[in-house]
Amino acid sequence: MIRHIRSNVYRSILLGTLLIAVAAGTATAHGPDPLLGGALWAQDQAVTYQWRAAQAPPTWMATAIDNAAADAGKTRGSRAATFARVSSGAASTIAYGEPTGCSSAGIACADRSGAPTSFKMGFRAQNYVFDWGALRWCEGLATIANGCFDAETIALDEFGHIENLDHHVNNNTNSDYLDAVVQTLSHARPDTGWFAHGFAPCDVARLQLEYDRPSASALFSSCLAIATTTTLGASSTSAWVGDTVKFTATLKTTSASANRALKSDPVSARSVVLKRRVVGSTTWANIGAMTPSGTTEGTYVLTVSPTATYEWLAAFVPATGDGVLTSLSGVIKVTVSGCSGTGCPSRIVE
Amino acid sequence: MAVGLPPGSFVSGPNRGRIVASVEDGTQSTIRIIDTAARCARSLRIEGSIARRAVLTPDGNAALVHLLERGTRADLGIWRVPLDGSRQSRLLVPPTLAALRSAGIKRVWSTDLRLSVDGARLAVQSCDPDHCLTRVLDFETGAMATISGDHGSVVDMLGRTLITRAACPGLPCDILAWDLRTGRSKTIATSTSGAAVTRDGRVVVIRRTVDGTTTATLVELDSGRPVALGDLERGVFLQDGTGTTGIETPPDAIGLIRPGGPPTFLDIETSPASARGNRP
Repeated sequence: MIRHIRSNVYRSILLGTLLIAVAAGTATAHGPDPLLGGALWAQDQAVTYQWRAAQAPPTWMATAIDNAAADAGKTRGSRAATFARVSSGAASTIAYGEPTGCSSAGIACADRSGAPTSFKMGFRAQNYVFDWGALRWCEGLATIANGCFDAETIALDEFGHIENLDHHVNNNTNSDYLDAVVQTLSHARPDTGWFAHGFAPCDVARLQLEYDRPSASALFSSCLAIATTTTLGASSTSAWVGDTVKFTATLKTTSASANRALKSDPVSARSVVLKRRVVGSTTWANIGAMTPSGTTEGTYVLTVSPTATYEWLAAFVPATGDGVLTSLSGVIKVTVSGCSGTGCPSRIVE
Repeated sequence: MAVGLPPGSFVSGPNRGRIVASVEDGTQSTIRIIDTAARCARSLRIEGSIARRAVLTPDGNAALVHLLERGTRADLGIWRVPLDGSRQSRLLVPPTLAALRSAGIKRVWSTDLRLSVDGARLAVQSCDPDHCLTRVLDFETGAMATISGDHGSVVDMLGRTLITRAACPGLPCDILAWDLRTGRSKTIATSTSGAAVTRDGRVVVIRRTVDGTTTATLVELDSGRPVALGDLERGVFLQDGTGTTGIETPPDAIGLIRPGGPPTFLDIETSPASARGNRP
């Protein structure tokens, strides 16, 4: 929770920074994790793994890896694959100790070239020696000490790779390090981000872009800024005083290809407000919150009884932390005929 | 024949029946030359330094050893350690801080040594988890080429061509060929699960397909033309970088690791190029 709040604050700051950066024509660092490459898993694919023969990890490492698999499933915020260990029959394997298949500078590594059928993952053993010294997994220490790597965090990073996440591109100061777990340089205890047991916003952002959100009402990652379109229709554009007019708004993401799996998605359970103005005015007044339809995703309705001719529009303003952008519908003019006040004739029905 | 080694040790080979192990027990480093055919071994003590990795020179008379200063673990460079016990000498200084910075490396995590297929050059690769700096020493001329552009582990060297992985966080990964004269690279294979070079100088890449099959492909270095070699035994993979499969491969084969089983190798016909299948 703390991480999320901090992230939102960053987002506000960064949005300003990004605008400046874009204006200057430079590449921006902050954003969804890049794609690693290769085939995606199917949406919500349940992928099983087992320990590679003769390379099962010790209990403390097994627990950390299995916990990371669960972390990935619980915090993916999308329809990305889920992972669970089975005792046999899995096409995917995880190894502890040599041979890992990792490059020589890696403490762990992932091979998703078999996706969507299988993956491989490897972890260096406790006390494996790099040029700088011996690797220490925190969970394997009798007494935790600075300089160790949290195996669950590292394993979550690797499951991120298996999902198809490449390392997050941090800004120059690394101040956005907590916006992603999938990082080039994983931090040892007690450095920032050494203990992360759930995907962070920019990990989820890429997962949503590739695998879609779990439902139309789910929030978009705060690492995204997905454009939306709001459209507004009325049951009638002319009415007598006293008639009711049902306004129906639809809210969805734009069809831009950059939105990938999120494009043209209906967006439910949001706040859409119906506004009106006097014809010729520039001032809009809020009439009311439109009610989400119980039957059609991304649809909001409000029935009103207009007393005069007005122009109407629907406005969607996202809540803090929802990675979508504001959108306004086009304007509809509803012409109301008749007088106002008591003594007006009822509508004449011939 | 089984040899137990402490965690800080590395092994290269076998090459012509000899395995080189840099053995570090926390207080003392030793280079052990293990002759598998003669079932004997000899040891060279490294005084005052930590031996990280070692390879045998092409003539087999010395070991080229990466040393660290004991205590600080500062890089001492690559040293030539004669097997006859005569004085060791430094072959290559450590990379400068500026060179490491230019490659994006803040701290070196690993230093790999790789002799070219023809034994004429030594590649010394310094890496952190994301970047590598590779220096290639030409034994004959003493010239050194430096590759600091984005690249990953060294696969091998063929003449003046260095073959590496691209800078990938995992697999799949592209394979690059670097011209050591110009420092330019080209991609010779995309989305691979690994690559290896036979001792007779041919590049083989393996890939996993969506149905779970692992395939091998020969890639002609000049033309980039791929020649399919067929499917491999399920689950086998290539050892990365300076690792060893533990078996000495014939000149026309690549070594493969089997999970939980003995290593194997893949024979490759000279002409026409095709796999003859795995041999245990």
